[in-house]
Amino acid sequence: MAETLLAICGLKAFYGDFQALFGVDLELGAGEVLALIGANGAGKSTLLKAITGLVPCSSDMVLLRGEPIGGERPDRIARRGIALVPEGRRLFRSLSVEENLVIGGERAKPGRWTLDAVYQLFPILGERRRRPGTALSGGQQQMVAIGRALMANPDIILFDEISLGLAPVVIKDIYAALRPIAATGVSIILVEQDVSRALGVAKTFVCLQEGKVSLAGRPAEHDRAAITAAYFGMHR
Amino acid sequence: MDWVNAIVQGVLLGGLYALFAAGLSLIFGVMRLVNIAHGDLIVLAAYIALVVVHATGLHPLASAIIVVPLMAAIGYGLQRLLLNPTIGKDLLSPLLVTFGISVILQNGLLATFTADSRRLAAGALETASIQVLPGLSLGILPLFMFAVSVLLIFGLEWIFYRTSLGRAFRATSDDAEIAQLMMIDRRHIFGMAMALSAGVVAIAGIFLAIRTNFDPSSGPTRLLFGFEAVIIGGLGNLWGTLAGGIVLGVAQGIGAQISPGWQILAGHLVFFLVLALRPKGLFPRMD
Ligand SMILES: Nc1ncnc2c1ncn2[C@@H]1O[C@H](COP(=O)(O)OP(=O)(O)OP(=O)(O)O)[C@@H](O)[C@H]1O
Ligand SMILES: [Mg+2]
Repeated sequence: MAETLLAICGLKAFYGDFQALFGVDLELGAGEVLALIGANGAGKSTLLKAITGLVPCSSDMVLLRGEPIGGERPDRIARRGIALVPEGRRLFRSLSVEENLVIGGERAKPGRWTLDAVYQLFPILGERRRRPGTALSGGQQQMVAIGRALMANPDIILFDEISLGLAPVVIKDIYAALRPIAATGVSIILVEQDVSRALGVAKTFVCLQEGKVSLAGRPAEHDRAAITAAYFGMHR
Repeated sequence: MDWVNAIVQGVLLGGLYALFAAGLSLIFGVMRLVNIAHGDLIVLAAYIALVVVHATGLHPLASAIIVVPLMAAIGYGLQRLLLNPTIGKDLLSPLLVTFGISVILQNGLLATFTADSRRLAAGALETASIQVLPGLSLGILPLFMFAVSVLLIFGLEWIFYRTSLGRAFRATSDDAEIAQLMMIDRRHIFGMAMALSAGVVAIAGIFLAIRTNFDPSSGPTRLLFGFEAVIIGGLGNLWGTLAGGIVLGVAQGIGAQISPGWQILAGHLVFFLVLALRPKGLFPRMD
């Protein structure tokens, strides 16, 4: 088992009075891909937001290399090497494709991911570098969002709904890019509606249901029925 | 030739209005905040210039080397200490805080400097002029101020679109939440925007102090002119702001030519006309 990079311990998260997460635990090893699955509203995005500091939580609920970082400011957490590819891509609309990439990296430590490296991974972005980020197709925008996260040369990348709303052929391209990204040794949490696709690339998975972990482990340890039950709830 | 003269003087005055407006436009563009204290900050800068000139004997224009950094620091401090804690919750709280700053500045200046109106003397520069056409001569000082205004707006535009700081401004304005994930400390970026705005305000204050009489209650009128220039030009567009300032200046120039009492009124009328016909301004930002 790889050394634990990120540990979530008893994470509770709230939106005002509404509680979205009820004591979630998970561990992400260095260089591992973890699939985070669960039905709509299960709390997957909330978990990623708590890790990145966009949703408050107490400090010992998120440990990075054993150090409590829960509730720190989002820009601090980003500096610690955690990047998010957010749900809905969220490109900066007044920035060009290239500026969207540059802003992802210009405050970060240098590393293997540079503009050239991102353009090599997604050649189409190089051709469209001067266009406004939001003038691209959905798939290309997702590539920009991924490139923007890579430019920070993070140790951990969190992907939220990486394939939502994209055509199957585009999804194939995006997943093809995931392989060389994972091969660089970066740790990944992958939130994905397409469970079998996510379990295909992940080493471990965590299934959330109504803010709690309903099942976790390695994909091979559980049969399809158990995972489906954990996904939709036992009563189905 | 009187009319040509009125229009040309209006254009030159418009440069100053654009300067009043540029800082306002910048702050609105970055943090969607209407800074009600903007005009009073201009007047504060004018008084600081007055004090600097008296204390050091510097030429009023040269006092900028002290007034600009000082105002920028004041702007940064105001943003970090008073405005940042209220931003992002709702639209009204920061607006009320700037209103409070405005009231405090006016009363503070009144207590310190009395209600007497002041002016900064620029020496021989004040009367120097060049003859461009028979019957049309232009003051060196208004020309210089206009040129500086255009250069400053050019500079702001460059910062906004060509530098890392400007990228952070635009990203924060587009999506403040995600911008933080780019390691951008929003409190600092907002502070920098206010510092930049206050730096421009410092120049505007010095120019104001040289051009006209001012007193502690002069701020709101400057705010109004700046505000009108921003709206005429189109929100969040600095070149539009320059054009808006010029339109306002020319309207006032033509109004004054008709009758002295018409100067300010003509400006307001054009403002209302633009607001009624093109509510987004003459040059709305492309979205
Ligand atoms: N900003 C918010 N304010 C209040 N409640 C919220 C907010 N965002 C999410 N929630 C609620 O928190 C719960 C978890 O939402 P979350 O977005 O984390 O789910 P998710 O698993 O990502 O769902 P999806 O698959 O639809 O993206 C849901 O009940 C949702 O309604
Ligand atoms: Mg979600």
